[in-house]
Amino acid sequence: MLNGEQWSQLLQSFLEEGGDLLKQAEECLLVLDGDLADEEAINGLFRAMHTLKGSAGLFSLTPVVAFTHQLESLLMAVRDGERSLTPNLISLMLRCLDELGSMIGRINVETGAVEGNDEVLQTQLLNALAAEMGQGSDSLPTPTAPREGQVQRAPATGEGAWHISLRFSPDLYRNGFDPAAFVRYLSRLGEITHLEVLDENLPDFHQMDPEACYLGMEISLRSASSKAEIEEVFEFILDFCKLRILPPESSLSDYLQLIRELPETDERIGSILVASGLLTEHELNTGLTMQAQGEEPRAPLGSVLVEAGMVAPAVVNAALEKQQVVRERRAQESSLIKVAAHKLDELINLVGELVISAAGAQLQARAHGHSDFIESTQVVNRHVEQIREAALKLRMIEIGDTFNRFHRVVRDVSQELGKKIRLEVRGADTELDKSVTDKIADPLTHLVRNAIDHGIESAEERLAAGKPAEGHLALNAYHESGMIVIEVSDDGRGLNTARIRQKAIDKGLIDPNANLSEHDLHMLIFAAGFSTADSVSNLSGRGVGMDVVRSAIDQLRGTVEIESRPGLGCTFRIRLPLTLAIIEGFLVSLGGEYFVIPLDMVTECMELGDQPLIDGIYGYLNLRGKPLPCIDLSAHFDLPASAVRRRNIVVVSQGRQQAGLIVDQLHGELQTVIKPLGLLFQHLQGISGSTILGSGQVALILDIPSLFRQLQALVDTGASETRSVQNRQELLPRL
Amino acid sequence: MLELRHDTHQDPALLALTGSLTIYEVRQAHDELRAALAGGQRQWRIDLAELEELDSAGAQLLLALQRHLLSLDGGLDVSNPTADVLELLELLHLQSLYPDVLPAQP
Repeated sequence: MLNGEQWSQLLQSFLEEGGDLLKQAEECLLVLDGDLADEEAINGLFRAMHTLKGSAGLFSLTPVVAFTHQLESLLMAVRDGERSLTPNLISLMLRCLDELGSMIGRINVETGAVEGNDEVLQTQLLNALAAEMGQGSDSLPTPTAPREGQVQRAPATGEGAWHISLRFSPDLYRNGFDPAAFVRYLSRLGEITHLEVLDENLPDFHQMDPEACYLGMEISLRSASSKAEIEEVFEFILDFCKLRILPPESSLSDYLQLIRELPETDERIGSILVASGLLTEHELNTGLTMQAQGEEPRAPLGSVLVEAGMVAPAVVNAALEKQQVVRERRAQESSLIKVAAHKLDELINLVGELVISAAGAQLQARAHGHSDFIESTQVVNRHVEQIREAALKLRMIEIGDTFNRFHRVVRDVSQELGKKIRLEVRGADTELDKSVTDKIADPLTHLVRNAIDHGIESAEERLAAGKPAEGHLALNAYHESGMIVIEVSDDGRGLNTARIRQKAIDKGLIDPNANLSEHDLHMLIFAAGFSTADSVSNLSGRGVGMDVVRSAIDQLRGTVEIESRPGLGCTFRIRLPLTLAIIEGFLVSLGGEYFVIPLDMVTECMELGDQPLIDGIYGYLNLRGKPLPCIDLSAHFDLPASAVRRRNIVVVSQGRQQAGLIVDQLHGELQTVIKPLGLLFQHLQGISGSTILGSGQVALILDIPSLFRQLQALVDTGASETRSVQNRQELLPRL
Repeated sequence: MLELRHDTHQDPALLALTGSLTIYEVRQAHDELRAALAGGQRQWRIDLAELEELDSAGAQLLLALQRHLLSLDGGLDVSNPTADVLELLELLHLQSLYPDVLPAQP
């Protein structure tokens, strides 16, 4: 059954439709006011009234139906040339439209009744119309009389009965068909409670072709038969008539129910209607043909069917609803499968192992030099790579959900602080691994709160500084060289380096005489126990936030950088690897030891040549006229000095920084699974993990960001001669 | 086979149909009726006592005739339908042609 809310919605849409139709009708009338014979306007007016009557009938709005019916009859006579319009009639009809508008306005959406219907006025109007028509009459005395009867009878006899509407083609008799025979046949299906032969289309007696059929029929049939069975009765004359079969009004709701209970297997609306028995196959085909013949853009089948009177709008709406439900469910089914996260992890682990064993197989193949074998391992590898990518994508989710929670955070926090702040989110569709997303949410919250609390000034301060009173906070995410970059930026006051410095000195974090760069001063806010806020607020200022942010990002093998412009704002830029599980690596070797450099960070490789490093282990090379800071990796890691004459440089970059890593040999790309270092080795600088090569050898994965930091520290302190304290023996686990 | 006789000396003018009034006879009937109407009578009575067969096409012709006469402020009354003819009039609920045809009761 249609519940109250759905009914109200349908009725509401009728009210809107009614308003539109009346507006159309009025426009037509105004056209006719200028040109009484404008056929298009007459047709438009007739259609509007006809549609209004039909729709009102569906909602059992009897006063509207009865009133509209009179107007429709008049217009039909005008359209058929039996009457002509007069200016008086147009004024009257305009008043009738006004009354219709007010009737529709008085419809109670809850009850579906026309409240406070002014029948007196309506009768007056109708009488005036009748009088006016009587004067203009030239052919037919009482064309409205039988139709009046029809309207009055319809509610009484239509109850619980099928309504069958027949309009015969002129050729019917000539083709040997007698409609009476079909009526007789129809009466076998049930009781014909009402039948009316429509003779309005009969031309003047002298003009008529007696062998042509001008008749139509409206039949009410009380029967338990289906629509298809009823249609079958008229099977032979389907080509010679327009047949409309409407289900009993009382059972309309049953059909709506039926539609809802249909198995959700087919999503085509036509099929839904046929399956529910409201539409016959023949009607569906006719409807489809009509739709196909229609002008572009094609009308939806549902509206074609309603327009053609084959089905009731309410039914189409129900079917559409059904279709929507099915589609939504399908969309959900296809886009969402809930899988326990550990199952995905398991899969990715296995894929990781597969990557390693496939690499092993390829190595074996190369060692044996068997070309067919090599070829097939290459194919296997390609597929493994695809599987790996697909598997990793399974865990990729958009960062938008994480971002969206900040709307609420920003709203709450800014209200608490009495600041007006607008949050802008960009790059919400940027994807990253779910495990990363989960872990980055808290650090981001800290950064956002910090920006609102410390970064963005109060409205007064902002206005005084010539900025808009409303603060602006932006969250942005994008991919950059295999990393995801998340930015939290505000247009606030920026970091106050002087105060940070003072605070750091007060807290004993730095030496008062230390000459720190702007960048280093900025990074001090991430130090444990550092807080610059003068008052400890609920939100931040306890000095616990920022060092938590830093360590969370470190755990994710990410980096954070601060870009602050005093008085203009501050941007925190977090770089994170897309996934924690597998990396595309570039394999290099130092002597007999293998190292993997994340491929995304490799920009180029070149031969070192005879050019010596300016400063030994850490120094500069000339790269196309620019100094390139370099690390001699074997010296850095205290490996035995290289015996290889021709060494290579791998140029790596991170953000805007570039550095050269001097290695012995280049072995090319590989994809590999990161095996985290054990707890014992987690403190190691410059190494982020390990992996197992196809040959079974262990390769260490270089932690480029940490190498950059080391290099930077060495360059900054001028301690370029200092050797790494890291000992080779500490570094490698014994295998 | 249709035989159509009319007597315009009576008031209402009398029309008697014998035989069949079906799709096969309507053209003939139409012609003859138009001729009969040429006399100008507006009030007619039609006697169907001898009419054995009527179909929808025939009924349509009678309806058209009735409408025509009504539009001239005249009329057409039908009398003495045979059982078969009455069956059709009843089937199609053509009360206007034969008032004794009762409208179906719900």
